[in-house]
Amino acid sequence: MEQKNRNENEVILSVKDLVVKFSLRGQELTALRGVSMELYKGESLAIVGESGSGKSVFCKSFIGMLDKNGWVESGEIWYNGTDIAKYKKDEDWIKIRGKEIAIVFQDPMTSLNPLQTVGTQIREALELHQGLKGVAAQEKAIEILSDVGILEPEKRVKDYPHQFSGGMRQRVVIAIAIACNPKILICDEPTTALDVTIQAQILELLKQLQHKYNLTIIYITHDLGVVANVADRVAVMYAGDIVEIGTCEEVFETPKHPYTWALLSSLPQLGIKGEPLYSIEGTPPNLFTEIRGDAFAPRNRYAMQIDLLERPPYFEVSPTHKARTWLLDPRAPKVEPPNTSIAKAMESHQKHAAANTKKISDEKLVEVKDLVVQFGSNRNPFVAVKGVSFDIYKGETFGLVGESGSGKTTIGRAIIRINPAARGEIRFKGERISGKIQKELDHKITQQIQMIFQDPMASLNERAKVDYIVSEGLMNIHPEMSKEERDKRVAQALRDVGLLPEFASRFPHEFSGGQRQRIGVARSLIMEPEFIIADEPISALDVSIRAQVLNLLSAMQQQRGLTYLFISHDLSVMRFIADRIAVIHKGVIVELADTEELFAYPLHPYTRALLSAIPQPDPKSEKHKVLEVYDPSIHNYTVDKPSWVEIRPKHYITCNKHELEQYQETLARAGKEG
Amino acid sequence: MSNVMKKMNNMSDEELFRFIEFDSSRAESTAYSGYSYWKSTFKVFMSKRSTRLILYFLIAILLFTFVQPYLPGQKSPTEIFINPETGRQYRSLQPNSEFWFGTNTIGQDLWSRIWSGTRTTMLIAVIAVASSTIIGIIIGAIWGYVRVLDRLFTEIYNVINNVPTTVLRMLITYIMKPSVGTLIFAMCLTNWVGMAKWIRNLIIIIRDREYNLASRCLGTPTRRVIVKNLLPQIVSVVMLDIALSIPGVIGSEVFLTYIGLGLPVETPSLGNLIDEGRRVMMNLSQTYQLVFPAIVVAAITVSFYALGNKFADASDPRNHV
Repeated sequence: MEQKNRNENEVILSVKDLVVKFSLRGQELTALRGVSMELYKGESLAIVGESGSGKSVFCKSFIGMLDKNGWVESGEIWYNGTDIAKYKKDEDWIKIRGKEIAIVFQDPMTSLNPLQTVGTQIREALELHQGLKGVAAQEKAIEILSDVGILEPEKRVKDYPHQFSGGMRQRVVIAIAIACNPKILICDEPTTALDVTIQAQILELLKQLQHKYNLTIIYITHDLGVVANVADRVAVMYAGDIVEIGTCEEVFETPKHPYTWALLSSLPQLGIKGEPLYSIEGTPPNLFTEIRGDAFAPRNRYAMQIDLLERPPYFEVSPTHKARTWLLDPRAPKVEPPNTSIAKAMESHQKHAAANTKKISDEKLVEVKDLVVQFGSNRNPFVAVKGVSFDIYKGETFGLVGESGSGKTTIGRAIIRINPAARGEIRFKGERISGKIQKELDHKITQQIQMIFQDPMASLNERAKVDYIVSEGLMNIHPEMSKEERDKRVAQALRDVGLLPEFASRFPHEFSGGQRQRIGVARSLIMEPEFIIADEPISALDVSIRAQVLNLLSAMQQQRGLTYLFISHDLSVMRFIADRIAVIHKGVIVELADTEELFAYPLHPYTRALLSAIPQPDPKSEKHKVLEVYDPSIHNYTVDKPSWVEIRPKHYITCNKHELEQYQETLARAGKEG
Repeated sequence: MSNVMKKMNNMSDEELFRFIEFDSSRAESTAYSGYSYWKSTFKVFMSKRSTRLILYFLIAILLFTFVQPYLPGQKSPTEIFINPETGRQYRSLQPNSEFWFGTNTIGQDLWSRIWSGTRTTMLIAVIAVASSTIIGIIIGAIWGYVRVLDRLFTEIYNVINNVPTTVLRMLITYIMKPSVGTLIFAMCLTNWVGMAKWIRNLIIIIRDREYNLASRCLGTPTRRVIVKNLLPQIVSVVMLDIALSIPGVIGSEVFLTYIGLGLPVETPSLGNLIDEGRRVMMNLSQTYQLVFPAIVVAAITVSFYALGNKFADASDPRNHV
């Protein structure tokens, strides 16, 4: 298909040897190191890379929106017969920006003006770029709004951005971009700030719009699932360069660059429970230093001598597929690439699943009963958690899945007593730990329950050395401990999480995200806890780093018999790490079951919607998937009140009598088919 | 680069395409950054020539103030000089080689009086600002971090803040005996309130950041959370505030003394000198008695103010480019 595209379609944008530099704190940083690329008319190209790989900078250079300390050092960007890399003045760029190339940013909150109605903002774009005025502009604005899937556009056109939900806001941002009537649309992480179910809808919308408006779309993303869903071609970026480019099928099925191998095989979807994930060690390179040879060489398990000396050229695999690696040189030894196919992984997964079920004791470690957490004043409370009950058994990983605002983090924080429980009870090893408790118990729980936080940038004290950060808990629990003993334990804790003991005398800002998250883990482990609440511990990390942290967590569980409460929005991660999963929606747990049971027989419509929305890094299944949308109004709970029912052994669901019958029917049908 | 080429030419293809051993420390060390907040702040602060000039000027003037009495040929600031020929005081002499800034209406040396006055005023400013900063930080940190006290402290703040500061200061200096101590006390009594409120607002912004929640989960006592987690984050803002409140305190000393409620006339201070100068300023030949102290006050306050603002810019990480 791509072959056909190439013959029929002209090149709309072509980049040659683009070098972009930034000056930062007196140093020069090379963000793009000679990138070349051709963009074909009407295609969707996905640029994948970790943070700092230069993918955003690359696209911003097409519209002259580099930050003020950055500049194009050399290279060309050809668009419509002109080299736009030569543009210096804003007047030149205005001819390109919006009119020809428009951009949609990650966060819809910051790209809209909160003081103007969305209609005004769309009309502004229409007036500037399409010359429409007055009634014509208003009509066009309404038309575009209905095109981006906003219901009752005549009414909503007069609304302000705060009256829209996150997903709707992103639709408005897209509407403004469309109103400029661009040829190329750049979507910079268009769905990263959104929930999974919304994300799937927005991607669907972009595909429709591409068709209707004849757009060429560049997606910038770190999520390989999104790529598999939307892209015709994929470019993989690493350290300011495209290391591999090809059609979606080629890159996912026969990747050639060792970085692409590593990226694909470190996905939790490919992992087998109980075994470590394939992980890329280390962190992406520092772009301040001159990179010699292949930038990926220090982290590459297939690195050869030549990788350290000379930068590889592009080797063509097929007319549409090329990669920058010496492994493709005819002189290089043959290498068997690791498994990167999700289908193969699923097969071995099923084989292992039966044999690998972990033995979990039936000793209850944590019991949560009718927990209610509310914020705000008593008179006008916001109830974040509405009567939640579950037990966590010793030695298991209990997963709590939900979207933003579902109350999952609040439950975790209620257990560790940051957010007080308004009603209900939390028990740890049979003792009540919610409400007022005695000092000795408080002391004991502080040591035995620990938390790992989401954002490694925010969860470490910037002004303290690693030494203090890691030993902070020890000082509180064992104030009598000598300095030597403490230092010894800190060094051991750092070694446990794969860091060097010398790091103790450094400040957190000297570390990368993955290393910081491991410092956070070391801080919890040094307390020798029994129960750890991991609140989205990998969602702020880069793909190549996630596997490191997941492996670390599972290794610690096996060595020390830890129990985890793992909070995440990502079901694919859950499938790899959790033994049982609870799905939470708007403060209520709607379904709770063993992991494989839940994936095999998802019953609650919300669970089904979540499952169908997860982007799978497999272009074949992803391109043809059917999206299920959850509408809470299907539940009629006015007369028939819902209750917590065990529908299959150890599989619980929130439903009323009527729904229960429906679910049982579904189960019976599935049983016959299976 | 040529070195690399040579190395490559010396190697056979076989050697070049041989796998090298995986070294995990090489992989770990790839992302080392040597960025330090304080180093960068200092670098940005010192990078402008105008800032350096103001800083050196301020340091020079303050050093001189304290060294001046020990220099040779300096006169006492309180001695009344008498003309040995006529037996009368040197009243209101124009600046000359003997009295560099001239003399005042009763024959005291204006040069040494100005430096002695600057000493007194600076002493008041530094002690008042230092003590109100310390009180402000302690109360502000508790006010901001301990939630249950927030209501109470806010009410106290409202009560104190609603009494006009100038009136309160005048009242205190009126009740107590006029002296340096009284003045410092009066300044502190009103200054810490603003400081505490300012600190409280800063603390509330950072109070619920994840690293503070982490400390709470580890059972760290409130006092250590404040000292180790919260205060280091706001040091730069506090330093800025100190730099800006010194000219404020100098200003109010000058004002209180000027309206006759500050220091006793026999203690030279910038306020007293300006007050004396004001009385004779309509007499054109004696204007210098107002001009000289006024220049010193202006130079010091403006320098502090400018430096404070430059520091605020430098301490903003966005400017660390």
